[in-house]
Amino acid sequence: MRRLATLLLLALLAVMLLSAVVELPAPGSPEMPFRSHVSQHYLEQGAEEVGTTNIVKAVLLEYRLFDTFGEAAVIFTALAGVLAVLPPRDRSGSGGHHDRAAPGQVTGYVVGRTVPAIVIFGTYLVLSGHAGPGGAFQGGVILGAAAISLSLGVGSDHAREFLPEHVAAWLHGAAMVVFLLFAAIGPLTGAGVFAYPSTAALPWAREWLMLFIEAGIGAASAAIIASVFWSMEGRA
Amino acid sequence: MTMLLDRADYVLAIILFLIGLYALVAKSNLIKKIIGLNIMETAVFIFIITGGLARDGSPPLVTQDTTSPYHDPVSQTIVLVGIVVAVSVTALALSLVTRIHAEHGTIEADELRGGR
Repeated sequence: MRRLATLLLLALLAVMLLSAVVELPAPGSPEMPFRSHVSQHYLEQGAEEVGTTNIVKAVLLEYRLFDTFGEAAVIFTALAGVLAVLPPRDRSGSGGHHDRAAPGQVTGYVVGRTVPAIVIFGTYLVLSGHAGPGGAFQGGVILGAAAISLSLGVGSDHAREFLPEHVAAWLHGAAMVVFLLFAAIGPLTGAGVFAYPSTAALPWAREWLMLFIEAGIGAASAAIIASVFWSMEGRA
Repeated sequence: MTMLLDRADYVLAIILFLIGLYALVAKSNLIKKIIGLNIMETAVFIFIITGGLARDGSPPLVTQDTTSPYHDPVSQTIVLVGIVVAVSVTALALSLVTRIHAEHGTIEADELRGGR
């Protein structure tokens, strides 16, 4: 009975969604709204106004910087929630991972040889996002994935040696700290809050500030992804 | 019918969305509900990205000399934000499920509703 009601609801929803989709322009057609609205301004002026050839990055770090701040706040809050629901255990005592099978030698060997390459690739993505595909969130998640695969391959006690707890605690908030500093720098240099100094006054400032924000977001996402994994692993 | 065939990408996104919604509503296992939520999120991302594509377009990296139109940078940015939020929601939901299992010994919604 419940299954029937569910299917009926889904069928109703399907009809509604399909009838709405028919009204939209077909994918890829020149009538798509973005072809005549603000996106075109970003594409035409973005490289000049922002100084990045990757327009996605220009939108993320200039036109909609405030959204990016909110995004960084969301992952920070998510980590705070995870740590509140699953309080960190005293790791010196008997941890919960005695019942888990020890990683095999082959796994450990392969992970040990691939993780350095993954870390280099992640760092490259964090730092190169302004000119090509990449960016802080993507690179940060890859760095976090490197920490997770190291934990799975050689055990999290070894993996956590690379990211000691007091360092991780600061890295979790790195994006928040970076955004706070950035919000303070703007008014000091005569620009508004969350605005870059004018390129005429400080030609190098914009580029370095963007790199600063990127590095903060990358470090924060990497540390948060890894910490979420570590706070969950070994619990039944 | 041709109207729908022209929009096959959208239709596939809708089907994926409904599959995810079915898992979210009909499954009793909380992990499966979270998987369903993730399928729904993926469907929405596919829909937004498809809406931002230009036919024979190129990625919004403006260095290349190209006469073809660019894909929409704004929808790609929105999906980037959406993925981060989706990961955050999944992380929080999974930690809650872990806690529920520790407290009640089950992650079946039916049993949780019935017992205690």
